[in-house]
Amino acid sequence: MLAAGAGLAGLFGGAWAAEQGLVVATITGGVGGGLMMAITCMMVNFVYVFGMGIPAASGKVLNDPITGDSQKEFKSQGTEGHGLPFVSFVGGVIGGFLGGAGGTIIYLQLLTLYEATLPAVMSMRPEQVMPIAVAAAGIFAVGLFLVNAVLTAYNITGTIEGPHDPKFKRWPRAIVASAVASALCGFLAILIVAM
Amino acid sequence: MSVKIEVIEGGIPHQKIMIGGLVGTLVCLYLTYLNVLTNTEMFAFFGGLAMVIALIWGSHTIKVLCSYGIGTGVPSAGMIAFGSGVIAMVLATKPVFGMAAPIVATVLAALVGFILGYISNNILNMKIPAMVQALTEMAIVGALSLMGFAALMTGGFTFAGLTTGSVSMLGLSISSTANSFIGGALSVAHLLPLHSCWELSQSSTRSTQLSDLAGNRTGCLC
Repeated sequence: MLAAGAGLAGLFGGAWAAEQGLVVATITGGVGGGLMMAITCMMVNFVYVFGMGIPAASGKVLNDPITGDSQKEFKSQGTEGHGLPFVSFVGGVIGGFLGGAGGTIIYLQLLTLYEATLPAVMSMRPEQVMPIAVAAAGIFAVGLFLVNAVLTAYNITGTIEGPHDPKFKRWPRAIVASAVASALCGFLAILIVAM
Repeated sequence: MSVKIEVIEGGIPHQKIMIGGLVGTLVCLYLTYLNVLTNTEMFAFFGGLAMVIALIWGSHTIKVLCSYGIGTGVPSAGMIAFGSGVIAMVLATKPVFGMAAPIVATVLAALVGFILGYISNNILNMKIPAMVQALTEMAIVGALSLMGFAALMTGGFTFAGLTTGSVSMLGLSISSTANSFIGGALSVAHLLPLHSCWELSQSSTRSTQLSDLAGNRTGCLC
């Protein structure tokens, strides 16, 4: 769910900066996605720490890999950890950045393709086609993003804490699955103007 | 995940709902074509009926998938249905396909859904027996319910009608694409919360009524 959210947030950021070239738009999209994750993670800790008085503690590792803080004393017995330890926050922001940047690249590539080909396909003037190209590229990008987000969620089957979680070792499988699914969906998205 | 927790009991057999759902949706989608034949717009409501039938079918498919104890994957199933459905549906509205659009959408969605099901079952090691079939069905449900929603608003299922038309909604003029996207997402994603909260052993009546309601409500919004 958060992967889809970060991708969509990044997509909005990237679409806003689409005029300024691939590099600027991709970085803007990445920052949008990362920012969304950072705000979400921070609000979670606000609610946990100040609202309920629960310290953030990981149940998967003894010490936080980045800060080195020990986790065990703060973890309630019978739980798998609670709140968002620093490493989860950093992992989430990096993931959000990558997700947002990826979503923006999909959108920009499809937009460039549709802007170039739709006037001929629909026999309309380029300026008339612009809103249609934006809508179609946006819809395909969101569709692609939902598929990718769900497949990666299926890979970890349930929950994951961050890059320190043992389940994180499964990521090569997710890359293969996402690559195949994205290639398939991207191919269909190109077919709409190519045939 | 590979452990089968409980099989659904009671209610109508899934095979029957699947065949009825597919045939009913396609028939209703084609009935909107009466608009073109008789040169009116009043047959567009068949698109809404198509959406409702597709949603009932989809809700039952999710129920089958849920009976394997998929847990957190339940909301995701609706997201993947919407994601793969919208891609197949927009491609099928291409002018080249013309009247065959609903059938093309079904075939394309089945293809996409099957490949995604294969990926999640074999590459991602989900190993759920019903996974491939369920994701195939969910993709078709996503595509056909979105197409039904598009037909409900624009009176047809063509790319031109979908992209150039606009619908007045709550006093705002919104393009049909955006509207069918929002409405479709609303109804397809609605299946999920409804399904995460019910028990497996009960008969299918309540959940089908709820998804029926979800479809009707989004239909009424137009």
